[in-house]
Amino acid sequence: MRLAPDGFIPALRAQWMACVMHDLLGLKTLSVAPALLSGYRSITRHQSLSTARVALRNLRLIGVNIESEAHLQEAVIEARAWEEDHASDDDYVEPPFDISTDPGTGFAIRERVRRSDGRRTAMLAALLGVLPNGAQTTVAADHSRRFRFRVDGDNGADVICDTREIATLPPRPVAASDKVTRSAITVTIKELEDTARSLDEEDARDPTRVPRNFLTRLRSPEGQAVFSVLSPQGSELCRSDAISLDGVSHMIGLPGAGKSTLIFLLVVLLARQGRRVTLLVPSIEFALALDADLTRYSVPTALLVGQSPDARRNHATRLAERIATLDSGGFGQTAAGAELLGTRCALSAFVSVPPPGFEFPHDRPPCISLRQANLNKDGKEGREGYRLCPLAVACGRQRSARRLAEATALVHIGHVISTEVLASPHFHTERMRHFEQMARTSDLVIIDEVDGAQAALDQKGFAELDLFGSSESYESILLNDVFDPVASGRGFAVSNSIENYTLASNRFMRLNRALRAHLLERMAEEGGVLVRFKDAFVTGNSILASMYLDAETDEEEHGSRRFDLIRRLFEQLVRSVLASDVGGDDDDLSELDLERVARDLEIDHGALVSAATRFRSGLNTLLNARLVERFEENYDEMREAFFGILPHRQGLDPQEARILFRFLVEVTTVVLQFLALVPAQYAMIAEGVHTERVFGQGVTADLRRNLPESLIGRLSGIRFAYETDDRGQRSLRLQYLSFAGVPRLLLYHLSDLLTEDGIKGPAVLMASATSYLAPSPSYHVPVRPSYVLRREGEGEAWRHSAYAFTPVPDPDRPGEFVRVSGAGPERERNHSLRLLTDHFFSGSDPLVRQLREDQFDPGRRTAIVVNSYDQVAFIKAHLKRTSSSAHRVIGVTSDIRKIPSQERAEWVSASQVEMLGTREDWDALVFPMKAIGRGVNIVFPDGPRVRDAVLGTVAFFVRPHPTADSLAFTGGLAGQLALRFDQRNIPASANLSGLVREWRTARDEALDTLRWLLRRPQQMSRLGRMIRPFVADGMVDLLQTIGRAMRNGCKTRVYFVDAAFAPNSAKDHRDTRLTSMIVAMRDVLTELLSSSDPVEREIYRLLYEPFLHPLRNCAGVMFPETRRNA
Amino acid sequence: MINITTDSEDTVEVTLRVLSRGFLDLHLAVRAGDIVDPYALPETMGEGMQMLSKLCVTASVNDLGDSIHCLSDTARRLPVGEWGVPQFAAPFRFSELKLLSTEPAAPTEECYAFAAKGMSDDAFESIHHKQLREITQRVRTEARLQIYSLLRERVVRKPVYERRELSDFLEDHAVVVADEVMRQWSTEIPLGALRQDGSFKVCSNCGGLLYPHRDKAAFPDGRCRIGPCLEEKPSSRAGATVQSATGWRVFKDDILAYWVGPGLAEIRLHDELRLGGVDVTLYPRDDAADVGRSYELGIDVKSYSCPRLLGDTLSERLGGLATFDQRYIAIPDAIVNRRPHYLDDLRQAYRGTIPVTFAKVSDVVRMVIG
Repeated sequence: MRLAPDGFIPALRAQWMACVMHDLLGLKTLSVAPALLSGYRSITRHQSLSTARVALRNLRLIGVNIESEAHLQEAVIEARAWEEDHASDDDYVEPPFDISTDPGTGFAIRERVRRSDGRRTAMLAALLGVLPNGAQTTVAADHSRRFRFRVDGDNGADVICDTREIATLPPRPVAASDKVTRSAITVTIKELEDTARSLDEEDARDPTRVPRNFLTRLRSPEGQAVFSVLSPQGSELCRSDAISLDGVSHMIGLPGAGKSTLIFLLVVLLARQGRRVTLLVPSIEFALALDADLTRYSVPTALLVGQSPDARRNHATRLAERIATLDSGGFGQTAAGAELLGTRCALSAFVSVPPPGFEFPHDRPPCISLRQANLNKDGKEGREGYRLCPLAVACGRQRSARRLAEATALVHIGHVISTEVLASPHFHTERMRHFEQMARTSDLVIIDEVDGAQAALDQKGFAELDLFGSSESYESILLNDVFDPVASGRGFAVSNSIENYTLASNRFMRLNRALRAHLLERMAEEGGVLVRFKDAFVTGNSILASMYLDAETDEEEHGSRRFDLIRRLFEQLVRSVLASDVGGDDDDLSELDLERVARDLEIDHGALVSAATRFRSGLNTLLNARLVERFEENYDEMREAFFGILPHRQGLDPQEARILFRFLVEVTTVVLQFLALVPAQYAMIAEGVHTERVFGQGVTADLRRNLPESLIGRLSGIRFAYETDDRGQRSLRLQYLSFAGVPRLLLYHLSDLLTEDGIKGPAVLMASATSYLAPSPSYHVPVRPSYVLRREGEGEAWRHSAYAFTPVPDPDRPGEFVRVSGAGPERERNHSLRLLTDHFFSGSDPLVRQLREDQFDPGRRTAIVVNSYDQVAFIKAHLKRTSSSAHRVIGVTSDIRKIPSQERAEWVSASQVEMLGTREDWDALVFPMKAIGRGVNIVFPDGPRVRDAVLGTVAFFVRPHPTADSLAFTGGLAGQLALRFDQRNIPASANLSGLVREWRTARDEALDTLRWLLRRPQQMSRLGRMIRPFVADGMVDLLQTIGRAMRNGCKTRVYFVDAAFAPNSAKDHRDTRLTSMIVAMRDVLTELLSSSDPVEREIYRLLYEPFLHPLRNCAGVMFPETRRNA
Repeated sequence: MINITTDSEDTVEVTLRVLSRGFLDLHLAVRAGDIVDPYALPETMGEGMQMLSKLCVTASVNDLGDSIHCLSDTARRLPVGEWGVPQFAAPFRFSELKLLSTEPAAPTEECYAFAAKGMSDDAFESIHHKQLREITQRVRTEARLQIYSLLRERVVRKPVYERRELSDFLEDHAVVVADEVMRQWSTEIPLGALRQDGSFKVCSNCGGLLYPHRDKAAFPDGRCRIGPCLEEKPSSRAGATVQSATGWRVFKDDILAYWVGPGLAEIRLHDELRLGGVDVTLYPRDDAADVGRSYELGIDVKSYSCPRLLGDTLSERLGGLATFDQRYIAIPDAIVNRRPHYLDDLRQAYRGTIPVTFAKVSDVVRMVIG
């Protein structure tokens, strides 16, 4: 959290921009500011900006992140307004620059004072220096005097605490110091082997330990290397006997190739050399397990974990569920890491005067909100102030944060999302988030399963804001921050900007309520017209597409262009009314350029003008209507006007069109009005009216400031859902969604995040099995792998892997096969699941038992893959009714509490799955696709098959498909486009306008791509040019799941059971990549393995041939080239 | 906030008492099907943890009161004196108190006794005793007085049973009424105890289940999970192999912890006395003693880790033992041998007015047989 320089006034941020543009870059306008302040490295590190690079970054760090031209305009106008407001102040001095508020001038800059003026030189000096982080100003309460807190923040009763009987408290931990430079890390394979040997010796010295046999994971008893480390040299991959890490490195290898072992040994080795390592892993459970493993070998660790009450509760509850599956409902049991997720606050024991009915808030303790009076020199108590809890140095609940602050904890382990957590105020003197702490103090940051980390970060790139219905909703924020202060007399002095914001937000609330009323009206309908939009990212674009594009036939380019024109016209019409000061029929239509629109759309100009006038008039009346009953007639008026000149597609039911049109107007007005508010929201934050929470939950302001802005700007929409509570009552949830920031870039920027501060950052090692798959927007890491791990000497067991498309005949529909994905309503899907379950589990000698014992690979079990925890529960319930061996089928549950205690042995939580390796009493495991993936391995713990995958057969009951509310693909695509621009190498010869042009073009293209995607249902057959990336994304999850059965190089049998995998083949017809995911996956992989770059080709071969080989030979699929007779 | 302190009591002892009650309440909830949820702890448990935190913080040692999982695991493994809380360590007189049994995890008899200190006799009496007594009330035959002994002996001797065989047993002894309670107290054979072929093995020493263990060298037949049995026979051996689990059941963990584990010493005592020609029964007169004969001879076997607590508890209430002419408290040999001066400390702590003989189980056998 960087401190703004002295004299920085947020409202005058345009002056600071002007200083950089004028004095450093010699520009006479601010017009290029949005591009230069976008934060993309292709821009900021361009040679032509070398003099301004530090200043541009510093501007962003103090919150001058101009997202668009509108923001720029807002900043300029606000600065001018400030000047006018303060002109009559006694101490007023004109700011150094005069900036035109006319966009036509590009916001021209004129000097008011000389360049040598003290203020200008001070501004420059500050912006070219290193901005310090804010200091932690709150101190701990004096434990030898009483202090107090209030139960509900400021309003509750006083709770007096007395800790005077504590004689002494431990000192605060000593934090690690910053590193300005770090030498490159080079580790030889021999050193890793020595480390493995020493760990094995440590195990051998302790008879209570189960030996881990690290050395045999690197070298066979005969002395052969178990795996090789290859690195690109020229046009081939060559064996390397050392690993060098500096800057960003990428390491890949098949599941079970040895990555985890190598990373573990690397961490131990470096820690024993005194180096600091941060290890980012896929889940908190993984982190806890690693923490325990490293602690076993005396490596000092700390857990990087979210500290918010919700995060803590979530982690502790999941741990409790995991422990409950061990034995006795968790009574008398514990698991690794429980001591780091303490839930009880020690201060509770020192409450001396509890108010009546008081219950200590253990889940939200007053760690940072105590109050204690200062002690004056005369020994009397003075003014009271906020204090930190003095017991933080001893309290068990703070153990994890305390350990994290200790310099001696050399290895920090956590999830990438936790790096956004603020370093604990109890133990750190600066206000800083962990990602910066990491960049300052770590020697190496390892991101394991980096593709998963990237996808998780992409999801943080959506800012989600409840529009109503919660204390964090925008309506609540408006009431608390803006309306109530004025209404209750606590408010601000009259200020034009606040008054204008009040007016604009009033209108927003009105529009929001109209949308809410409509959705509530529709909630009563089962399967109504708007159901298709439920849980999805809804934009005007996607609603309009449902009215103009035929979902059944893929639109051709002409249709697409025409649609785009219609979309723009609609948006412009709405915007023109919302932006109009007066409104009404007399407004000037010239800005809409209707003549050109008519020409492009091939419609009569006169008719268009008339329709536009009618539409705008209707909307205007709507915005000013005083009776809700009159709304409908205005919608009708607008609809008739719009459809009158641009009729919707044929076949759309008029009643449906009516509902859709109303929804379109509502969503478009809400979104546009919100977007219009965003610049003003920045101003309100600058004025101290709002806090950053007004932007909703997403990435923190600190991370945003350190990374580039979203390339597609604030592309926004809404999401609604109907929720049902425990009592069966339904309610509406309405959220505003927008893209904000590009959090995935943290992975790529981390190693030189602080370069502008003169600090060489840590080496970054990214690792995964599936992080190199160029067509995948969400998972591909576009960093050429520096190291590829290859297992040696196992005779390519995967060549014996067997994949087959095995649809199950539908007994109710002769000639048809059971289809789950796309089976229609839930009832039908469940019926399909029932049929598949019977097929695998019924009879005296069920198929699943045969699979365990047959000759493919005796003893290994079957994974049944479905799409959700509900489907797991459904299958288990069905088996309980129908199968005598139901107890031999283990279900994976998200909440073990919902399982009756006598049935808990038949269930596991996802985090407990690995324990199944030691159990003999099961034949099959049912789980939703992503519940068991990265890093989760069920292996034989001992015996001749030690470390082999227990799962041998994977049966996909459901073809994977993003769920309706998944924004994964959309977020992944946005992230990919931003990353691509960030990494673009703009020619050194480009000048500033060239840079701006590059940024604009990239932004426009990205927006077009996203809009194109958002108007399509996310179905393979309708994705056109997006099919390849869509399949590639889906394929990663599928391959990761199959990877669970490949551990230790095992062969795998895969059954694609859902007929939707290859619907044509089921009927003895050829499938294509448009109809079959199996064909599409094969094609994607085939193409990659045919890369013209020999190194790429070899990397892809090593990674994906074990999948491609059996996919090519997938039994039961009629590939496009298959000869019918064959 | 509950009020449990009294001015005359020492804070440390009160802390332990509240913790004991907390564990009993928590265990009750778990028996009812809950899981140990740190956000939904019984009030007593929360209160006990809070008081424990205070002891830790004031003593500048690691806070043990923040995590119910770490705390209950510690309580299962160690006597309170070894928790790392200086106030609980020697010379604290109850430092040897162990609140939870190691295997299966459940509150120990000591935990019950400590929780009930200063309260009525049955304040924390095990629900199982109550249920069994209710059954005996419903039996109207002359054999009523023997029913309790009969059923409890049956549970202790055969913790794993075939349902039909138990029904026959109950029918033969005219206590069909107990069938439902027995079913409630037991569960199907857990999946974890089954071999791949569906068979399971029964421990030759205690009759409990043997669970397959990854250390096949040490536990070729599997490992028994009844703590006192393991203490007697560290390397479990199978007494029988049952081919199919269908129709077979095993008593739940708390019955195994309260009755079967401690019952091993009781049975051994009973059998040896019978072998020596002394006519004794198990749990005579509705559990007035563990082993005894009419009103003449009563022997209670006690497995407390903490002799002082046992002395205090017996001073406060001797229970049914007081009704016998000859009264013995027998301590399993392993406990006495492990802890020097156990019997001396016990005798010193006993302040009751009724004379009782304290001795090792083997010595009691010798004394009674003569």
